[in-house]
Amino acid sequence: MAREKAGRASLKVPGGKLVTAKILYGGDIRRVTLTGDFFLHPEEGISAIESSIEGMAAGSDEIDIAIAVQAAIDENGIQAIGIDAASVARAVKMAMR
Amino acid sequence: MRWRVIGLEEHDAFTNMAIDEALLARIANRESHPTIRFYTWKPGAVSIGRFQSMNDEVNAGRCRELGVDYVRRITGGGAVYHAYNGEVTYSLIAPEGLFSRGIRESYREICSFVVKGLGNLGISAEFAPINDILVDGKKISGSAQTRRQGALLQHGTILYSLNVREMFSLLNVSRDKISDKQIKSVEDRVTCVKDHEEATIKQLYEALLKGFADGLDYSMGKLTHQELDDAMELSGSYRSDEWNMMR
Repeated sequence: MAREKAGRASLKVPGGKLVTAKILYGGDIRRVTLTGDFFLHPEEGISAIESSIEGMAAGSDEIDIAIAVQAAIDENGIQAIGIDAASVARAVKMAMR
Repeated sequence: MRWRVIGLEEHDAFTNMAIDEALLARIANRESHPTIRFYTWKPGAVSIGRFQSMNDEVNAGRCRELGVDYVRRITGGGAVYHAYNGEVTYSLIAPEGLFSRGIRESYREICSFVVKGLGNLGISAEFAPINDILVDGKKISGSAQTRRQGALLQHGTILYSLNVREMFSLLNVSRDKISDKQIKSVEDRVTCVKDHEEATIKQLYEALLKGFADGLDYSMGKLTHQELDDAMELSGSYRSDEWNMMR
């Protein structure tokens, strides 16, 4: 099993809000916490978004992470304001660099 | 639809947030009239958005030294320092069908009342998406909204006075940012009523009240005993580390 590492990165979405990804990862992404001044409706949707990334390979492409996040947004009827799937995926990848 | 307006009150941070949440639940259940309330925070407090990290955003040690509370809101958005007598906060709680279904558009609609209110003081303000109000290109007001079970809560602050150095001491702004240059930078981006008009807080409140209530079928009212009981019960969770430190 790969040694667990921790990483964090913040991204200001142009015209939007700040998102920070805090990641615990080894060979796969074990824990994701997203923080920032963005809005999600309903707010409880944050868990679905974080869970959609957990379990993915740490080497996943940004686009694959974005697809997983977008699926969570669509399946749970979440409205995201100030962030989107692409910006979340970018912050997650940055946190693992 | 008949509205209730609750005039300017002062409460601590936990009670203010608990009242907003209690009203949201009652109004979602159609047990209370749509309500607009105005309040200040005593003692002063820092509120953070639903998704922010308290440890990242707030200098809790400094808050304790200065007797400033800190609390997590149920709404998203950013950290706000609610200085005692430094701002007026409004909350609007109503069935969501009274406003646009689109959240961005409903921000515009509700913020237009604040713009009108500032206009009543002679301050020309404009809405700036997503959730800000600007005067001469500088932020004077920010708002945040949530929706639950068919009801909408939007609350926001209107800055009356501004002390950037005090604000920076309470927020986790890196030391290199608390330079005179950075303070100037915030002062270049943020403004307050006192920069524009010699108004008192009471006059600001009265101007906002007129901005919100003009053309509305409303009466001035108070919280009911049931609403107060709900709020007292909820206020405990707003004091808890489980809620405030959850991220």
